[in-house]
Amino acid sequence: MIGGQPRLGSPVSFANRINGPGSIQLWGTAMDQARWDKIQSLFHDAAALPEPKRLPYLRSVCDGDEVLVSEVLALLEEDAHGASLLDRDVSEVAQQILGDSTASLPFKEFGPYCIKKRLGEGGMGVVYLAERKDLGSLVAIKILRDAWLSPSRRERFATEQRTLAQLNHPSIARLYDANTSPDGTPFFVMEYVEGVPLTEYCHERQCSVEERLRLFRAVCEAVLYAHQHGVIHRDLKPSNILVREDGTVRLLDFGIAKHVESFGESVEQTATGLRLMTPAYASLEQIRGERVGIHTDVYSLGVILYELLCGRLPFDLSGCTPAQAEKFLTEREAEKPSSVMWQTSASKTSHKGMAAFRKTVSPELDALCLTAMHKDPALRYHSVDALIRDIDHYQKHEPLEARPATLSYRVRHFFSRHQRSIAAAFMTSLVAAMAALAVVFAVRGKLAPHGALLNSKIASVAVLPLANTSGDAGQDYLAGGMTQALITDLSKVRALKVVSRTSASGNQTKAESPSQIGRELNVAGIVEGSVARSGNSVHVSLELMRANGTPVWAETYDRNIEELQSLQRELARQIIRETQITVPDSEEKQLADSEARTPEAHDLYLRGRYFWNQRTREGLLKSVDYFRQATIADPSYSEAYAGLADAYVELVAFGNLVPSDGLPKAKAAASKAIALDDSLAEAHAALAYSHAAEWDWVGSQKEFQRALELNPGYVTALYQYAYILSMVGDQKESLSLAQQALQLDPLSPVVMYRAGRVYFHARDYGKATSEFRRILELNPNDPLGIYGLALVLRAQGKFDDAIRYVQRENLQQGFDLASTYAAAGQSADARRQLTTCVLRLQQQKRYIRPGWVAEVYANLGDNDDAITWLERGYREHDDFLALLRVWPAFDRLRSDPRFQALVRRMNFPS
Amino acid sequence: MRKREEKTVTAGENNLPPQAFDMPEEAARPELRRAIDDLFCATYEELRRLASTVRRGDPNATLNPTALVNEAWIKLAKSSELAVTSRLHFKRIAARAMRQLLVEAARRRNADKRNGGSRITVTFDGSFREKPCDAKNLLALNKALDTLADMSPRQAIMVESRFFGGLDIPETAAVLKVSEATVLRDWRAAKAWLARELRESN
Repeated sequence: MIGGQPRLGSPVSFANRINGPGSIQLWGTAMDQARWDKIQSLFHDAAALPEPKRLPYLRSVCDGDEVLVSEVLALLEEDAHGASLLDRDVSEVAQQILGDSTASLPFKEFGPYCIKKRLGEGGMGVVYLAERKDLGSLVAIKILRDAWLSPSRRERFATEQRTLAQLNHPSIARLYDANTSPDGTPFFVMEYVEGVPLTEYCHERQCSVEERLRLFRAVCEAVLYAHQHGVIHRDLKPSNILVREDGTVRLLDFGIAKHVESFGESVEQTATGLRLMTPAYASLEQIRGERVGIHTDVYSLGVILYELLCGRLPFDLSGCTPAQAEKFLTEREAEKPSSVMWQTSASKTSHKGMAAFRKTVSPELDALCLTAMHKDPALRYHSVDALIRDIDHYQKHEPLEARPATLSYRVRHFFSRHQRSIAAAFMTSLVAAMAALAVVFAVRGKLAPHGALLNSKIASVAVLPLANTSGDAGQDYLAGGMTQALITDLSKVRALKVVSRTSASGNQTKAESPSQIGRELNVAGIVEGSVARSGNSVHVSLELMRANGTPVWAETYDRNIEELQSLQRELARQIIRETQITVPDSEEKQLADSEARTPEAHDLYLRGRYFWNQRTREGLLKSVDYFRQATIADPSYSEAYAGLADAYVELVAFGNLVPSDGLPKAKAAASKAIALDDSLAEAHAALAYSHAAEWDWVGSQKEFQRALELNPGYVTALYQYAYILSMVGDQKESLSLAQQALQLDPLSPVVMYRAGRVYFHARDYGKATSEFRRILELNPNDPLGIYGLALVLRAQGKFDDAIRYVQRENLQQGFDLASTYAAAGQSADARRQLTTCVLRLQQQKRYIRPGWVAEVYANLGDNDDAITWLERGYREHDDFLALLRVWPAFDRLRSDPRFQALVRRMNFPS
Repeated sequence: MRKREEKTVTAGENNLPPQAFDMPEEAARPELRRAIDDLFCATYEELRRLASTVRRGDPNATLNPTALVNEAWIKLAKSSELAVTSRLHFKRIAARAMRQLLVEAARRRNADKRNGGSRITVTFDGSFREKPCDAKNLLALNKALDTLADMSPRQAIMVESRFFGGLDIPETAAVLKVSEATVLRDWRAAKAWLARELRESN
């Protein structure tokens, strides 16, 4: 909201005075509270006396203060008189003051504009043609009748309109000005457009489907432009889209509907009990009065396209109340545009344009149109951009990105109606029915569904990040947290391979088809959905489909936020059921077992996991905060303790926390979590990592194995264990674990980095390079990828390239650059850089990681200093020491007896 | 002279220090304050619209603020803004909205008259003879109420609530958390003082 924060002192709000600071004067004497209290007291006392006794009484008590006496007397007089404004009924006064409303336009002139004639009237507004007095140019002025802004809102209104005025697109009618008239009536000054409404234009000219699509695409472009500038139209309909003589389109009233809605509703309800809006182009959520956003405009565009293709609206909602419209939209499905055309053309064979249509409205256009106007916002095109892309795909005869989304609803209804009564015999016909439906929507053409395929188990699923459709980025954590919870729960089922799809840059909404995702992630099924929270209710929609796009199951849930945890379990169980995988009782029990937490603690935990997952220093520190709060809110919250341990582990592992500080904390939190719940894989993994940092390799290995036993699909344990094993020398096992982690979370930069490091430790530089490069493909500036590549380049002796890479990012506080200089033989540069780094860290009172310094000295060939720093690292438990066996830079030290002794003290397993 | 003064007051409207909050629990919670300000705005707009609707339906219909406030309550009952408040509290807020609305209208009316009266409002009907003064009278009351607020915030709230919002004695007592007897006492004194001020202003 623009101008949401009122400027200091500007608006007249409830707390502000109505009037100026009146001079506190009473008959020339300043009146303060004490004196007024005294006057009142005397007034009441005197008023209780009979009239003749009042003056003597006042004289006797006022001690010669004649002014006081006269003040009280004046009040007594008014009291007896009783004929002031206050004694009258305010109705009369209001009548006088408000009553005289001139029914017609109160002002002939709005600023520099002079009204010429009335162009039209509709809904809440009247539109006038006006002329700008100085320039003589014509404009349209829309006045929102019956809408007065309170003074404090006037300025905010004007500010908001200024952003609308910045929309500058050839297909959007310009908003020149918007303000409130002196009496508070809002008005808009807009570009005056002469044209014909879109649908009329197409009808009159009998435009071909291609021509209609061209116009529609131009409309989409304009809407996309507005969305990119943060403006939602809210009231897209053909009458707001004019086509001019030259065939160009102009969209009117951008962002204005918002005001019409907020002003209009109550009046109209008073008069007729009806909401003002025309429901024909409004989505279900808009009719319900829920939050509007990009998705509502996408829906309206879908309906407009439908109307362009079919010559009629998808639903006849004329005369419906919002409640009736809502019911209707919930229960009905739009007919496919292609079948509408068939009917119409059969009855109106004379209409020559129709013959062309019959050929051109294809199943692809059906899918495109029905995806745009899907009743579930999560299954619509996520943006107008995606809609445009599919129009382009269609025009170029390429496969669409749209998945046959509408189908899932039908299947779901079909299922829910029949689920309980489905007998084996019935199954065949069901499969046949689904196959028939699927054929219609087989937009990819290659899809050939058959019974066996539809009926088979789904043994591997990819869980795509649940979309946050609340429109509030502050709710991202909820969608992220629920995604992770779902993955955790699902991966407890051994027979099911669960692949996560951590996206590199958070909210990337790359529209990919299920088959692309299925291929990419090598899975049979895909779970996707969305979460939207508003207030205390959560709306979740979730869908399971096969990788070929066949929907298996879809459901939407509306729950109170308090029930979030039980909902999460329910979702996991439902998906497992739909995969038709047999789950052993023990695993079933494990799923049901998790303890219920208070909603508050759970919310904190979800936030913690969300930030933990970002794996940045800031994110991890925030997650520590949230996890800690969660353990305070619920001291028995084992998962929160495990989260805390995880966060400390990651902080230490990336050198963001002194090991002597972080490791005990990690260990304490992990032990606490295990004490509370021994079956928590996360806790065992965190404990394993802290054991490793204490060079208790056996203990570490035991805990990792326990973690993976509890949850074989736990990716964090997999990559951490792989990493530790690669350092202590079990390369073979390590590589296999790393590959498992990569399979289960193939797009996570952290997993790729760890896998790359595993290859690097095994001195397989080719594979290491390709993992690091994959990170940079997702994000060319990811420090993990840059650091990884620099490592490989340096080990390969490609020093110039290595220096170029490390200079790009301040890696390892600059020690990396020093090491690279040293390895390249630029000793002076290396020492200078080393001094700079050490001095800076000392100044900042930050931890100087001994391993990093030792590495520089080792590269310089300065064995004494290298050993000294390694010894120090050993004492301080710098986990860099774990690299002694495998780190290429230490190769030069291997023959040194002091180094060999150190390696022995590390107790590496043989 | 009077004209000048009127003008100053209008201009001063936009940069005023906030008055002491009359409900201390709001002062401590900024988000509540904001919610109440939003409600105030919504109420203002609703009252204004209702007043106009009533008039359009029947030009002779009585504009009864109490009825308008009740109707506004029903209209706004579904809005989220109303969640922050009780019905009583709402009436209190509506009273101030009504005050502001009438003051604004009265100012416009005065301005119109000064600018040569683009609208003809003079009527020779005897029963309306004194009415054209109402606008001025109301502005004077508005100013006096502000002065009263400095002397005794409680009484200013009381007058505002009772006169502009139609709160009865028990409601006023509940809003101010005082006894009904105190309301009666305060009201009587405040009314007398305001009457005196209005007389002076004429």
